[in-house]
Amino acid sequence: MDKMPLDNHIVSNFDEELLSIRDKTLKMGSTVLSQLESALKAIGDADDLLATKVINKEAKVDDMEIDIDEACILIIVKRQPTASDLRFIMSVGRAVGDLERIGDEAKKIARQAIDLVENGASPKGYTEVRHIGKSVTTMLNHALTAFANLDAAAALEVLKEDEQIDLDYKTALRELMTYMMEDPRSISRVMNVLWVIRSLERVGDHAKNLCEQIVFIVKGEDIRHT
Amino acid sequence: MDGTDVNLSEPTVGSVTVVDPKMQMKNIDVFYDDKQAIHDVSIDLGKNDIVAMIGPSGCGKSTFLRCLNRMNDTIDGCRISGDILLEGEDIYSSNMDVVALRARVGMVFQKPNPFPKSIYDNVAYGPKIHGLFDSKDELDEMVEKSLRRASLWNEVKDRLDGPGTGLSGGQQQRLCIARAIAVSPEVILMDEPCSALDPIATARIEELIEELSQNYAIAIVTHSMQQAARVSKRTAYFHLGKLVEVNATDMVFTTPQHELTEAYITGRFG
Repeated sequence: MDKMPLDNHIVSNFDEELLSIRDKTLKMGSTVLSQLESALKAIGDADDLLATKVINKEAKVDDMEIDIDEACILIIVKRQPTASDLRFIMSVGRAVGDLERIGDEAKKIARQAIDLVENGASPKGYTEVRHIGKSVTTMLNHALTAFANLDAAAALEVLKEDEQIDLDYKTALRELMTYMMEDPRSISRVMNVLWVIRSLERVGDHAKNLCEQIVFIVKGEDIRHT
Repeated sequence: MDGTDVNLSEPTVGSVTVVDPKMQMKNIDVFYDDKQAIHDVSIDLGKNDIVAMIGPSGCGKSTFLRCLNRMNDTIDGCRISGDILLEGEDIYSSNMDVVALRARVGMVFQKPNPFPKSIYDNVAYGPKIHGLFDSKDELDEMVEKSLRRASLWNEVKDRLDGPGTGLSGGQQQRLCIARAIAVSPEVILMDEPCSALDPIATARIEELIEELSQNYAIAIVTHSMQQAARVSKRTAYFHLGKLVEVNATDMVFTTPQHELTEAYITGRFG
């Protein structure tokens, strides 16, 4: 079985509660994805207003995490879920933690965007940000789609994307170090870019965690740390 | 899930056998007249095992349990084929003494059914009919030990002459357990032992089941999946007279291997 249904319980309220948790998690996922895209756009467009919006919206993501956590606890109390239902609830509990961290990373990127705007001239390294940013947002998008469909096969495919991101991250680090060595006056600004890329790499890791949870939900196999 | 049909020729999923079996059930079919209630069920019960049998109403779990100490013998038209071995001995062989068998394989029922006698006599009844003691002191000792093992001694030690039926439901059920263990059984069968009890009495019985497994092999039929998850070491899922899956309880309730088990324990039919 590669896909898993959440419905068909005798108690239809149980279906609704699980589907509501899935929908809330997806909404949280699309919120942090759009936070990430906005933060990257703020860097590319040197738009500090947009970056400020991202920072201000982060509290909303935190609220979503707490709301979903509470819904999971209520399901455990009321329904005593077992098997795939139990795995779903436990995994959502972990996944919202990852989504919240992605929100944090988006906020960090937005802060760097403001610093870069304040520092004026455009530094080197934007190409790397654009490139890795695109890979990471695509990966997160794919991970959220796999979660929406509870599709383990798709999740396993998405996991592979993280390997490329890690590789690109290492390459970008080397590039940025070269820039800093070539022109020590650029160190401060290149450091801003470096933090952005570091955040993007972390987002890739969180998207990877989400995919591992999808595999656990659907197949019952814990593939973390393997 | 739509399809709740079971493929009768499909083998049971999971681990049917154990390394140290107390009882072995092999290819058991049970018929009530022409109707087949159990289809080719094989399962071992280990020496200190606690096997929970779960499944929807009419799945055959109680019928199967009652085969293990020949309680079905009294039902007209009930036929059983296959082998049921207790310590390697066929319990359906012609030279098996059924009364002795039921002492070795005791049973606790859904509704507590103490005899209309004193608490003491309820427990002493088995040892008396089986002649298991030489002196009154020895019988007293057996009664006390059984009541202690059933976690009832402290509550009844001052009123052993009082009627067994005067106890609370939970106490009556523990009295029935004391009565079953007074004859030193090897196996205890429990047919929904807590379904008539409140949560506190249920918790006491569940605590007791865990303790009893140190000395006895236990098979328990329960409608409560949470109870099966809490008390058993292995869980067997029955469906339409077939043993669909048997595995370690931890596995059955987190990652069941058969889709029918999954559908039943997640409340998708039953």
